[in-house]
Formats: sequence, structure tokens, C-alpha cells
Amino acid sequence: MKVFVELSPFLFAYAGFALLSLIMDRHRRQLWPSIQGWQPRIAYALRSLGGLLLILSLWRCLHLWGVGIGLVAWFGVLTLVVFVLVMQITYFPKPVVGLAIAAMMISTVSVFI
Amino acid sequence: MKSFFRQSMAWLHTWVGLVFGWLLFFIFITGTAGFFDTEIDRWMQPELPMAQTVDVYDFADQARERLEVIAPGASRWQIWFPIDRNRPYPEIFWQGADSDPARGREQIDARTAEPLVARETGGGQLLYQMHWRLHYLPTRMAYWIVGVGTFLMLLGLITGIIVHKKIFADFFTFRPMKGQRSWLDAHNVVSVVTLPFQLMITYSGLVLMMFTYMPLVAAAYYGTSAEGRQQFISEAFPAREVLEAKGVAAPLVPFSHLIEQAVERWGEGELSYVEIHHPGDAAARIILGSNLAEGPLRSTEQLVFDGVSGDLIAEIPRLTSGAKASRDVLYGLHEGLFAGSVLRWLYFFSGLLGSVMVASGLILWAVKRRQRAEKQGNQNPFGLRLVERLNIGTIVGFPVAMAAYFWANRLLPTSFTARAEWEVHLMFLVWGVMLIHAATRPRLRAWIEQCWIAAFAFLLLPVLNALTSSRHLVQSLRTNDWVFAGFDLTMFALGIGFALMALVLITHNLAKREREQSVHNPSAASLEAL
Amino acid sequence: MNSYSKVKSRPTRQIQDDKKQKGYRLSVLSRVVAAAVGGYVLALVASIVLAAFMPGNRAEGVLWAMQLSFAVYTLAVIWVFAARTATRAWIGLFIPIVFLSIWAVWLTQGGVK
Repeated sequence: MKVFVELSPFLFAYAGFALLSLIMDRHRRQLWPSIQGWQPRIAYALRSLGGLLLILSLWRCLHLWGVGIGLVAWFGVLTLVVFVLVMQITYFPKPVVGLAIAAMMISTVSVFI
Repeated sequence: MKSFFRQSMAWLHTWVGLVFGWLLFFIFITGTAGFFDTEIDRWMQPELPMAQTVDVYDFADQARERLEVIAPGASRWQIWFPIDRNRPYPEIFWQGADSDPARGREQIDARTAEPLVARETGGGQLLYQMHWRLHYLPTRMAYWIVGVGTFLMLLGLITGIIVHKKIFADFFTFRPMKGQRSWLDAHNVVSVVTLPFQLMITYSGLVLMMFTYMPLVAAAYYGTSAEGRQQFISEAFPAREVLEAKGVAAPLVPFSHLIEQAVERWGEGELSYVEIHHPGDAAARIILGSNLAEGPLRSTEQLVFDGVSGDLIAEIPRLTSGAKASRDVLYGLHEGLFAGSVLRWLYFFSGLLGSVMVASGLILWAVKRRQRAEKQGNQNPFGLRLVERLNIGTIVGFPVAMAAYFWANRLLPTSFTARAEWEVHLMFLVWGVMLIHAATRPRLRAWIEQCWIAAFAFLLLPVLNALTSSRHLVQSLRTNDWVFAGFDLTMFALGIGFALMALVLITHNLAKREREQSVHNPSAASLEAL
Repeated sequence: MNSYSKVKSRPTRQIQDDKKQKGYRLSVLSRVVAAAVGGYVLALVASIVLAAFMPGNRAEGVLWAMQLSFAVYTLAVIWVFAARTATRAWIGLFIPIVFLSIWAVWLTQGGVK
């Protein structure tokens, strides 16, 4: 269980960036080809949720490691997560949406552990 | 106007990156290895035990007894406690002693209170220090070369941001197998994802050396004399006064009472060192310091005691001024001494991506010009060939040389007195051989062959470790020896990485040949132009 | 060569005009010297002036200014290569250097602090 707590900054960031990529036309076609496009309102909601998840990731970093180290760690987390996501979008785009949902759920639950 | 600006910046970005690219790659790779400097130290001295902890009271007394024997009449003693990953064993240090050597350092075995004995090696420290000392060069010269490189790196970052038109639109975009486009994508993605790290590491790198690069700012106010410089340092970095010895003998107080006060103030495990000035003299001072690596602010809190009476004379806080704190934070961020295991791996990963950024930029330069040269009817300009060959011999050749450093550590006999120097000599000799290989083989063959060499050099390191030490991978995994397991597994992963690179190059080359045989396909493939 | 050189050297490549090619090379050399030497001097005198206006005592001001000097240097180099001509680049360095040098001398010879 503890491992999920330590992973929560990564999982929140993963879900957040996945949503942010999903609102971009190019990546939506790769990640979720059956969707034709977003209504502006939904795109706005997705973007806000994505941003919120990134902030939650920051919050978990600060919570886990304190302000000084947590802030540094957050940048490291973002770097790793975006890199992994880019590789996935390029080579294995199918599971990204599912993984993002799972990441969101696990990290949300881990907050209450 | 705007497009002219962007074009000039693109020009600047291109040439700044090219001219110092290989040096920057070298700095990035060795600096990245430096995030695991003590771990590499320990892998390179497999005789040493696992990391130790000590009781500060007992060890301070043991260390004092030993220092009284081996370093009497010293101007300074230091006793360091192993409180985190930065120092796996307790250590003592002395300076200005009447004995021989007058100055020295010993790692102590906490179990026996005797010095630890291990093979001579440059270890991870040497690899780490190489990223600003460049090993063979005179210190000053190395500092300035690295300084120019770092500054050009900063320029490269800033101009890169200006030139990159679609940072957000291309944030997640990588389009493989599309020639020059793919290399540009790769360069963009790794640069953008690591941008905060890059800016931090580059700017802080300059700030760490600012007294070397910008000494005249201080000289303008304090003069160029040694006293002026000293006055600036003491005003900028308030520290305890350094006293002269009185030449009158007086017994040194026991440490226990002083240590109690430090532990009470900072908590268990936070006392980092005890420093004694003029032990045994009436002017003795004892300084207790807190952990330097508590957080990004790289600074210690100090308690200064009279060495004879044991009275607390002064407390020096971690934070004395905004300007110093800013420098301390940049210093701390650059070194990352405070990083625990998760953050340390993130640092390492960011450093690796930084190396990939430099490498992909260099390759992009060559790919672009190779395509243009081919379009203009099979020209083969010397400059292009030079860059291509240096790319191979550095981007793959230098990692091979680093592997050779580790191989040399295990293969040179431990009785060989100059073994520490020869580890490094061999590293640079191997680099030279790789550069010659890169210059003499056909281009694509050179890439593939060097990737295979790198793959085997790294993949076999865990095997070599198993054959030459008792701490093989199974053993280290079973005993939770994460320093050894981590090193072996990382080498294994690097080996796999290079093997994959070789396989990608081969399959791509085959596909390209088939395509050329069936239809004439003018769109150049990405790796063909390597 | 890339876009920047194209702007300057495409006509020269077509006409094979050695003079213009030489002019381009001289311009680059001139800018490199301006950036390296002129930029450094500008960063230096600007930092000396800056040191007098940063918070804290004199030593802190110097520490701040030293840390900021590299940013000044970066801006100076960008200016040198963004200027329309090498001559303009030099003028743009020279004027602030003269002005800041006088100010710096006045400050360090018992002006303010």
C-alpha cells in the first residue's frame, strides 16, 4: 500500500498529462480514434481537470517530501511522466486512456491511505 | 523583424551547440554519473563492507583517540559521521600535524575502529569531478573551458526556447522514421521535458564557479589584493573567526557534553561532523555542524565551543543572507546531495535525457547536412564527415570508455601501485580507440559496431563483477545490497539499451535497402543519414 | 548552413562573389568577438552597478550581482546576434558599457556605499 502513496505524484501527473494530450487533435486521433472531436465545453473541462491533476501531483510531492525537496521532486516527476507518455503515445497509444483512468483512481484512493 | 530575430537565434543555436556539443556531452554524461558518485565509489571498492551507522558519542571518542595517535599537534581535526548516503562510513581528517603525513583522510570501520583498507581507485569521485576538472588539464584552464561550455549551453537553451515555435503544440509529439523530422522531434521532446532541469543545472553550474568567472565584480569594491578578497569572503560568508594557536598546552574537553547539546538542538542523526581547531592548545575551538544535505539549501548550522572550557561561544545559522541563501540553493540543487533514492533516480534520469538532448542536437546537425549534400549530388564535405565521425566516437564511444573504466577497476591487479591512474588512462585510451574506429569504418557500420561493443561492455559488467568479487547480483539482491544490485542492474539496462540501438539501426538499414531495391524512394529514411 | 546564413549568403553563393562571402565571414567573426569580449565587459560593469542596488550589505550586493551577471551576459550575446548589422551590435554594446563604466567607477570610488 505504501508504494501507491509514493507513486501517487507520478500517477496524478500521468493522468493529468494524459488528459492534456487528449484534448489535442493530433493525439486524440492516436489515443481515442473513435472520438471525432471535443465540444468546446468538454475540452475546457478536460483541460481544467488535467491542470488540477498536475496540481494534485505537486501537492502529493510536497506532502511526501516537504516543501524544498518536494518542489524539486515535482519537476523530476513531470519530466519522467511526460517522457514515458510521449513514448507510449508514439509506440503503444491504445492503453493510455485506460491507464490514465486507473492512475487517477489509484492515486485518489492512495490519498486516503 | 520577428522572423529575422528567430533566424539569427536559430543560427546562434546551431553553431553554439555544434562547437561545444561534444564537450557538453562529456560533461553531461560524467556529471550524470556523479549523481551516483558514492554508489560508484563503493562498487569500485567491493572489499568494503555495507554502509555503516555509528553511535556518535562512541565514535567521536574512538576517532579522537586515533587522531591523538596519528595526528598530534594538528592545526585541524575533523570527525565525520555516516548519517546518510553521502557518507557510507565514518571518516576522520587532519591537517597540519607534526606526524607524517601532515594531512590525511581515513575511512574508519565502525566495527573495529580501524581504518578501512581497499584497492586504490579513482572511483565515482573521479568520474564526477571530471565534469568540471576535465582530468588531464590544469585546474584553471579546465574551469574556464567548462565555464565557456556551460555559458554556451545556457545560450543554447535560451535560443532553443526562442527558436522552438510550437512548444505546447508539439509537447507530446514524436514522429519516428521520418528522417530529419524525427531527429528534430526527439531533440525537441527531450529538451522540453527536461527544460527546468537544464536551466537549473546550467545556471547553477555558472554560479558555483562565479568567483572564478566574475572575480572583478568583487574586486571593484574590495580591490584586487589578497586582503581585499579575504575581506569580501568574510563579509559574504559569515563564519567563525579562525584563531591562531597560543602555543600553550591545555587539555581538550570531552566531546560528550557538546554532542548532547547538538543532538538536543537538531535531533538524532542530524549531527554531521565535529571539527577541532588546535586540539591540545589553549586556543582550541570545537565546531559541531548539522547536515549539509538536509534540503536544497546547501548550508550547515554550526555550534562553536571553546575547546578548553566547553562553553558555547557562537551559533552560526544556516541562513545568514538572501544572497548567500540564493547561492546555497543553486549549489544544493546542482549537487542534489539532499536527494533520497526516488529523487536521485529522477536526477539521474534528467541527466541522461540531457545527454540525449545534446546528442540528438549533434546528430540533427549532421543528418540535415547529409541530406542536403546528397541532394546536391553526392558532395562529401570534410566538415560534415568530421562531425559525423566525432558523433559516433563520442555519443557511443565515450560510454564505451566509461565501461572500460569499470572494467579496468576489476581487471588491473590490486597490487599494481599505479592502478588508480591507469584506470583513467585506460578509459581515455579506449575513447581514443573508439574515435579511430569511428573515423575509419563505414559510417553506418561504425554506429552499429560501436553500439554492439557498448552493449557487451555494459551487459558483461555484472558478470565481471560476479567473477571478481563476492557480491554478485543474486547475492546483492538476496542481501538487499542495493548499491551493488543497483549498479549491476543499471549496467545491464544500459547494455540492453545499446543492443536495442544496434538492432534498430540494423533493421532500419535492411528495410531501407529493400525499399531501394523495389522502388526508388526519394524520401530519405531517418537513420540512413546518421 | 542554416536559415540565418541563407539570408546573407544565398545571393553570394549564386554570384560566387568572394567579397560578399568574406564580408559575411568578417561579420560573423566581428559578432563573435563582440559577444565574447564586449558581452563579458558589459556583464561585468552592469553587475558592478547592480551590486550597489541589491538588498543587504555591500558583500551581499556583490554576491547577488555575481549570480545575476550570467543573465546579463546572456542577454548581451542575444543582442549581438539579433542586431541587424555587426556595427549596430558593437554600438549597442559600446554605449551602455561607457555609461555603466562611468557609473561603476563613481559607485566604487566612494559614491553610495
